[in-house]
Amino acid sequence: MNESRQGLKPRTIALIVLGSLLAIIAAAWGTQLLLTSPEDIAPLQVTREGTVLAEYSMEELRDFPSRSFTQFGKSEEGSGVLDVLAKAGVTEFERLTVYGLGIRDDGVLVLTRDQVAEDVLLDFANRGTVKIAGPDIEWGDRVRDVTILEVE
Amino acid sequence: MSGTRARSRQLFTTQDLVILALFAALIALSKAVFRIPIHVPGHSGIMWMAILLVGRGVVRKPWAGTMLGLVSGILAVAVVGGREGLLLWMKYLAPGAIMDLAALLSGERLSHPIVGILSGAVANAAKLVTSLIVSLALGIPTGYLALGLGLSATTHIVFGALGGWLGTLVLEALRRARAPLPGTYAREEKLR
Repeated sequence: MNESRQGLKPRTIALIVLGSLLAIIAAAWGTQLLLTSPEDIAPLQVTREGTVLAEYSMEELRDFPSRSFTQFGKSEEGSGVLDVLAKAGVTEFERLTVYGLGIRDDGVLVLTRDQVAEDVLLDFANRGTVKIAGPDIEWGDRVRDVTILEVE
Repeated sequence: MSGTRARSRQLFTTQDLVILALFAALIALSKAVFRIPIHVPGHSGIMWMAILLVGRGVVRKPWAGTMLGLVSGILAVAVVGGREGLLLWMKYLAPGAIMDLAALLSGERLSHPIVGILSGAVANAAKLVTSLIVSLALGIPTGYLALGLGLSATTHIVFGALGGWLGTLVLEALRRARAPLPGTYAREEKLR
């Protein structure tokens, strides 16, 4: 007994799905173009005891001497954290707390002075924000979209 | 007789639940265990969607994907960090529900390469959309969420498609190997 197939044909369903995926991609790119601007990225603040010592835009962060290291087969390059802190007038500290937006991570990382080595840097992500990175910082501990460097 | 009726009303057998639990654990741990050094958004979809598709393809019952997503989400809340906290499970539920929809529309033919590719792509895209919704609910500024969204959406779909395709390869290999998948015992019982 032949049964006629009711509803949409498989090819039609596949084309609808494919079209939907392309529409999602187009919508995403459109949203990015319409809703984002360089001003959307908040400046990086260096603070101590609630006082803002310095603020740096992403452009200003790029002016710092570039440092790099290789980890997990990828070269990480960016501005040295110690350079950024020194420019803000921070020469001595015992602890550094890195705060981020926490979109894809815990959003906070605490490092002792000994852990903040010369090769700990603020790596520039494809999104235009910075993330903390270092040879001794585990991938899962990295804080992305860094907004505040708090020293104590 | 009443025992047979009870079994027919039961959505999942014990075997189904055990298999779903194992796959759910695999999904929850996949990010930590299967560390793929591809530093691009959505790359975890390669393993995630493959495992999800295989799990749904093995337990060929309605709502199995949703159950898989729900359980893996609950496990992920305990294992994975992040600001989403308790809302993290939503990110795992969405792809599971999409797999159920794909199985329904394809007539349980998740092992077909085209079905697998499209299912994986849509499921990984659903994960991204859910993540965005959760982030918006948590008050993340829209501007930050929109940063890199175009590339993120593209790579999520590409890696999801790749994961779906890998899942179809595994499913097809299981069937060719005549693996004792759930349902085969049910057919044997009917023949008795």
